[in-house]
Amino acid sequence: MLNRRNFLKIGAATPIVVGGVALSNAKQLSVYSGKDFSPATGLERIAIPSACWQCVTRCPNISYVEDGRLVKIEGQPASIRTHGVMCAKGQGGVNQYTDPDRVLYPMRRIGKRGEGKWKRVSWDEALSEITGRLKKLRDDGTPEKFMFHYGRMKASHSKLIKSAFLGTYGTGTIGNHTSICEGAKWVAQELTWGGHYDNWDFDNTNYVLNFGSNVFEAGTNHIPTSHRLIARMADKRIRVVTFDVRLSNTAAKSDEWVPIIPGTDRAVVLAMCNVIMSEGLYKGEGEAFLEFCKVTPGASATLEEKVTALKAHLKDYTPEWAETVSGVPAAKTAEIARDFATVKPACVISYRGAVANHHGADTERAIQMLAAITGNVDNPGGRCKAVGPKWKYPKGPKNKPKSRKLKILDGLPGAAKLPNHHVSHQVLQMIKDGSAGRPDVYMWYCYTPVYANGQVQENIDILKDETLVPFSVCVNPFYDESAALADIILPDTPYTERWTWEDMVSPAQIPEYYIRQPVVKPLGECRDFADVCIEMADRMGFPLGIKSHEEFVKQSCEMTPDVKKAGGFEYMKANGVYHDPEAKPRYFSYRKALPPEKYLAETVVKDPATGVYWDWKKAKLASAQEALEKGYVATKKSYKAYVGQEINGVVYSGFKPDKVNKSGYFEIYSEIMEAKDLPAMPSWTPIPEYEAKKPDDLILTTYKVAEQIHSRSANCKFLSEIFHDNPAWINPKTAKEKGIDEGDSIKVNSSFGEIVIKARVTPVVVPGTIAIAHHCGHWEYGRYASGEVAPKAAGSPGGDERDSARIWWNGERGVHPNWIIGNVADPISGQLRWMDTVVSVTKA
Amino acid sequence: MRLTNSTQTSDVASQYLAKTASERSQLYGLLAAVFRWEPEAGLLDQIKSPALAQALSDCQIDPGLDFFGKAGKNPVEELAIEYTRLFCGPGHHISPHESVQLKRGSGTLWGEETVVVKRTIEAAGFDYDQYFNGIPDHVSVELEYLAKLVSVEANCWRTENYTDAENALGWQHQFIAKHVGKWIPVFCRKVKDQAQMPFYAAFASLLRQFIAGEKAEITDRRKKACRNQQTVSPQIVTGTQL
Repeated sequence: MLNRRNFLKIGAATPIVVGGVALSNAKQLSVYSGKDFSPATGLERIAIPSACWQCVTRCPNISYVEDGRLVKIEGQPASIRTHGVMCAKGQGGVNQYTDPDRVLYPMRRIGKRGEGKWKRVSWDEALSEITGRLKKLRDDGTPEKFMFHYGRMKASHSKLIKSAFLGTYGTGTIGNHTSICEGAKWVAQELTWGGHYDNWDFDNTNYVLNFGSNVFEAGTNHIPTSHRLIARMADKRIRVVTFDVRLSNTAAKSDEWVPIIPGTDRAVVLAMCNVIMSEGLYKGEGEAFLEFCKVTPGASATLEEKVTALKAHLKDYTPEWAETVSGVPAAKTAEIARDFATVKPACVISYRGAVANHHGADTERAIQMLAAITGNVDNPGGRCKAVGPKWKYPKGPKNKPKSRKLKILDGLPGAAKLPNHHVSHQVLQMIKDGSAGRPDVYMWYCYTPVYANGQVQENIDILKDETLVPFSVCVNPFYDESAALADIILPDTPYTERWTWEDMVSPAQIPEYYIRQPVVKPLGECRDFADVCIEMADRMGFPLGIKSHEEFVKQSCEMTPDVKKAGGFEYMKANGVYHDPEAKPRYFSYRKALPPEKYLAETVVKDPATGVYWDWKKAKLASAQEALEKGYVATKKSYKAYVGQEINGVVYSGFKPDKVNKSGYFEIYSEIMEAKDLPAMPSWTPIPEYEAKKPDDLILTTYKVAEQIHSRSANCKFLSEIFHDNPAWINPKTAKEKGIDEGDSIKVNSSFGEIVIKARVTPVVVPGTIAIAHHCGHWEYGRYASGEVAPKAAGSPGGDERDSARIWWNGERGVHPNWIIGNVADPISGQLRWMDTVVSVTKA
Repeated sequence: MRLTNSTQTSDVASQYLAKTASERSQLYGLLAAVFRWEPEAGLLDQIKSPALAQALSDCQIDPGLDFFGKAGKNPVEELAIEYTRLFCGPGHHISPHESVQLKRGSGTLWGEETVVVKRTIEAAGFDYDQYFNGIPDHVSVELEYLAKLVSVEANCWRTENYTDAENALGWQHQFIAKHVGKWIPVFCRKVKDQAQMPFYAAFASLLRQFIAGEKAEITDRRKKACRNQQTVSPQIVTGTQL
């Protein structure tokens, strides 16, 4: 039989007879050795280990410098997370540095806001104005009127800017972008197993069931996970099944693509759970894991009671019922459920396709339940708790004030019941509303509130209105749609010109420490904003005790035991990454039995209602008596005092809570949800807009592609040359009903506005939907994104340079779907609902 | 002025060449200052000085500075805004860098062309100032480089060091032919088209004409020197900071 294994046997049996003729043996294969050579001179380029910042994954990289120029970025072969693989976005990062439209100097608005008139100012002038305003707010006792809103701010940037600078300044009015990203997943995971972030152990899995993750193109921890999945599929021929509205590249590479109506994944997951419970497929690993699950009220249910409760809850969620909701044939749901429950180990994965919709957090809870009842939680080959490095770092001044904040972070009244990570896409609406106060200074960093959120026109109107936003500061290396509406622009450095220690989670289940270091000098007067914060603190009279971000990283390297042992800062500068070669992958962390001295300590009590051991002193209570009287659940932020969970007479580390006062059980039944009048068990809740939609309405869904980040990469010419247009995918059946042909202009209307976009008639999208990619339709962000080429000279044959003339995609820059997507929130988590906007579609 | 065999150059002629070179250097310097930063009051005062104003007028160059006084506007402030709009952005602007502007060039900041410019300047013996935080192929840097080269030339004429004077001319010739002459004329046309005030349009016009004249003059002189077998290979001029 001819197969690869048999071929290899021939190779193994062959004596070593192939000798060198023209080539000597390579000492080390350069392709994989972190070396690169100039094609012009043949000289070795300087290789600097650093890290990417294009997407949240932040892969370690090697940046190659020739003649002082960054010429190439590749993966870091020594990385345990990436194994040297780097995506297109990461390689396209060289364009961030050389973007001819970069902002190189601080800028002050002249004339009306948004008019486009600017004056270059010195850093001193810019910071004098900003700190003058900030100091007054602080001195007046109203630091909360300084709102800081960030998009991507992780690791040492977060510790230095948020914890040290903003913490010492005293504002808690700090917005993020989690609600437009994966807030629903995080909240659901906090409700079930504690801290957020799930890792998918593709290295060891034998089956992957995917709900709405485009793992081969985008998403959290993209390359570290995707290259592992590809390897596993190739090496072990494991089965991958993808539920998605459209044939993404992930779906196309899967063994099976199951089309599904947007926002209905939960119905299918519930039906799968029904099949598994009703057919007894939970027995074995699933049954064993139920010991660690909370499935009923209270904390004392037996296994039998848990099984009974699950069966009772799931009994109406049959595959036949799910078919009526999701369009997925009942037999298919049952077949996949059986496969998933019987192939061990198996990994269920999910992302925005499944959760960025109405009650999306409950979909993630249902997926957690599916993993639980099949025993695929935190096990080799299953859905694991994330493992990341634990850096030690300077904390800044000890005596930080108690922060004050405006209550504008968690959305409009009633928007979300558990906004653990805020509803930041509604911040501007809250500012407009004004009932919870307004910031006097609104500063945003690595964020584009205009473009990244829904209801673009309203975002523009609010940011332009000086009565609503009296003073605004944009920190950005680039002039994007939001920068255009700022009063001051501070030119940040792109990631190729800054320091950071990094901490993204590792799918190897072994933590990886890594750093980012400048590979080139900052261009113009660009400055790392972390350094700017250090200066602003000095100017306002509360020095942080840190000289620079570089110094912060250096100190952190020396303070962190593992890194120090490896050689500290100098080692990290030379190598970029470190992991303990002796470390073993971490699994089953919840099963660790605590030694008695941990839970019998003087300040620890057992909460009779939940079986949680908790430290009343850490919970800021006066005594054990007070703790027992108030109880664990009712004490504010008691989760921070969690010690362990008693289960059948043993105290385990359990599933340590984060953000909410859950028990140490894996909570399928959530009393926290119940207390908020939300379903205690993962349940189907009809989508109100679907219930009200007219027969010929469609559902708009969105997606990301492999070559672009959501909103911060269209200035990269390498990437925009590949992906710059986003025609709306529409199924031929639906198109025919509406008289739409391929390439037609179509009007897409929602209750938030109208866009006109080209139609791509394709069978690889579910009938009744329309799918539009993000990334496109920029009207700022430089020539490659917006098509606004630099000025041409009269009589000059071309643009101002080669690339202007070569932007062949001018006029094909796509349409931004966010004009018609509402800043609406999942009522549970506050997640922006990217996937279930009801629209009407007509030929333009 | 005709350049004959340098060994036959008379004292009078060399002093004349020194004076001319000195003036050329000053003009390069003025243009470098105009395009480097937003104008400071001191620079505008110099431009308004009777001698310079008359000289500009003689060349039919009107920077339009009288307008500000009549309109009750602050020229420093207004020209700072104009400078930002034209050369800094943010957004739509005319990048004052060779690597961005050069036709069939890289089209990027810090492109391959930037490296060539930096190497050329450094090979000529100049160092970038440690406090310089611009990009090495900024229009003002290239003009300053020429100003310094021409200044060296002037000194050589003044001391009757004809060989080094020819060297300096050779460097100028090379730099104008390979760099300045290739992109600055188009850059100047863009500035003229996009300017909303006469100031930068006027100086762009002056710069374009001056470069064209320099190109023709130096080429002519070099050709004649070649004919007289006086070609001297450029050598490194050391010890000067840019």
